[in-house]
Amino acid sequence: MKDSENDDVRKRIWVVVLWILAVLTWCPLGYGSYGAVDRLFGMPVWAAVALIIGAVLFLVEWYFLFRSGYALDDDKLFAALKDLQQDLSREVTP
Amino acid sequence: MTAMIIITGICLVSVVLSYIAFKQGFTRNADDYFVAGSSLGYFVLIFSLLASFLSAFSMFGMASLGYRTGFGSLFVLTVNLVPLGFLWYFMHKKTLVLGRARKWMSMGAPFGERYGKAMRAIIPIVVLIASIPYLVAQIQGIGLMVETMTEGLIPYKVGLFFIPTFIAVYLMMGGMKGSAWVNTVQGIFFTVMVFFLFGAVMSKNGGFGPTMDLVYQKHPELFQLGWNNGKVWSYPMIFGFATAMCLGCICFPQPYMHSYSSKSVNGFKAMFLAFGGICIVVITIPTLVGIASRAIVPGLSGVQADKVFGMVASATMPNWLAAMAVAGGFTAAMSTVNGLVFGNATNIAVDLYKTLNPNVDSQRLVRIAMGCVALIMAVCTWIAWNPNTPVAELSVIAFGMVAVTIFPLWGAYFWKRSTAAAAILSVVVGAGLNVVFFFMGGKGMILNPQPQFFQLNGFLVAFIASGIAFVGISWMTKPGAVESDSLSLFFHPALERN
Repeated sequence: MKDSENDDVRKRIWVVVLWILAVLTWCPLGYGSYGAVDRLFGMPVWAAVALIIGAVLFLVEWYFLFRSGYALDDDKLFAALKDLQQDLSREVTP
Repeated sequence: MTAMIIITGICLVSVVLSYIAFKQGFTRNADDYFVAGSSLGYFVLIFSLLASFLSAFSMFGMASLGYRTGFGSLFVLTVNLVPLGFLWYFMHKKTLVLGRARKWMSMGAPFGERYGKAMRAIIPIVVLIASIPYLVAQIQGIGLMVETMTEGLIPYKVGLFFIPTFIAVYLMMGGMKGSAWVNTVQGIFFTVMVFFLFGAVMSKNGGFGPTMDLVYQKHPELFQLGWNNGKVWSYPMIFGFATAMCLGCICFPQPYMHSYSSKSVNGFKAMFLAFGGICIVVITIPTLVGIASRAIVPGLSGVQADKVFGMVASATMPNWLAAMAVAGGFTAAMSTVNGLVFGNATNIAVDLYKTLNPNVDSQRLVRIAMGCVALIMAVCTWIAWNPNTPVAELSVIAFGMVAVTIFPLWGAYFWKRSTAAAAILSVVVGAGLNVVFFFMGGKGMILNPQPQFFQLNGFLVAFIASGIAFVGISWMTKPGAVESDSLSLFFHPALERN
């Protein structure tokens, strides 16, 4: 029971982190400002930071999808399909 | 002449690939034609999904937007799309599992099973209306490209007919598998070519840093947020563009079709993850090329700026390489037309026609879809006859409109209390407001922050109204028999475990 509760908490933390990074890639909140800007690598600093945040989000997504164990995989898909198809055939067959 | 040979060569290769798919029997029945028999592997999925979205907009449109408005364009189609890796996964995880279990073939299938036939019939109509500006943008982009590449030898209006005819032929012939193969080859080609163009443009003035220094000296506003008295790249404007594009991507037919076609879960996850990762590189490059072009081909504005990609290629590369670079953008436009026309044709055939004629046989359904491909291409070519809106703006309008279907999709998979009435009305309210705003205030009202909307743009207002309508009406109405019966499938314990 405790394990599944911990899993739920961890999943929520993942979702919160992903959403925070997503919002930062949708708007330069906290790292941009109107008017004259400093530049980094030839670009305005806020643009460079946005690209870096995008790269970080990509890595976090990769870890979540392929390494965290919380995402769907082929074994889970086949198990789910088996359960679903059993129930679906039960509904059809009286 | 070189340009014409390259264009014709690309078209012929695409037709040959589709012909091979046709000869190998990948269009024999509806399952093969519409979802490639759920047999697409990693590599094809990644490049096919990528190419079906990356378009004239991402090459010519983004170069034009970067040229006209500067670095704020990076929030339109580059960093803002990285969240799609997890958003697509969460929204379409059940599409994959239930699609496999229920043999779904179209975008309307989940809506139909969860909310009933009316919702299933509305989806293809809304998606088609939303897709038309985007398709017109591609065809318009293709016409402009052909004219630029051939230096006027093939005028815009002739180019409008030339390419869409090829696209219609190979889409009708090859089905989903043929379309995915063509998209993959075209996707690889344009990805390689943007790197060549970037290298040539930046080396013209001594590298990336010196080029940006030159642009900064003449146009410092392109490096700023909130320039032109706060009107260009204000925070609300950035948020409006970024969310319209990102959320719109979730709701177009391509992710549904690719989810159904995926052979494995890893392929499904890899295509969604790779999309954002590749966009942040491959679309940032044309955007930066557009900004750098201010120092090479100054003085373009409006629709004329859509030609900047071709013009800067001509100014910085040998003729044959410039033609190849522009042909890269050209294939991006073609592959998007493939994906979107095919998705819409599938929606109309499977969700609309089959709902009205449930006993239609598989072969006739495939023929209906082929007819829809030809019809959609013809209508879009007709609309593109007189271009008066730049490609980038047309595309954002399309993405914004289709984004309103996200609420019924979310409700279908995650909220047991959602009702059919709420799903239908939220889509009608959201899409309807987008149309009303467009006719009231043109593209500016949809895209730019409006004082009367508390500095939100029309898209965000329509999107929020659609969400409020969905939640509010779901609370006010009771789920009917269809919604209640669907819960055992959509909230099956096997799905909730994952």
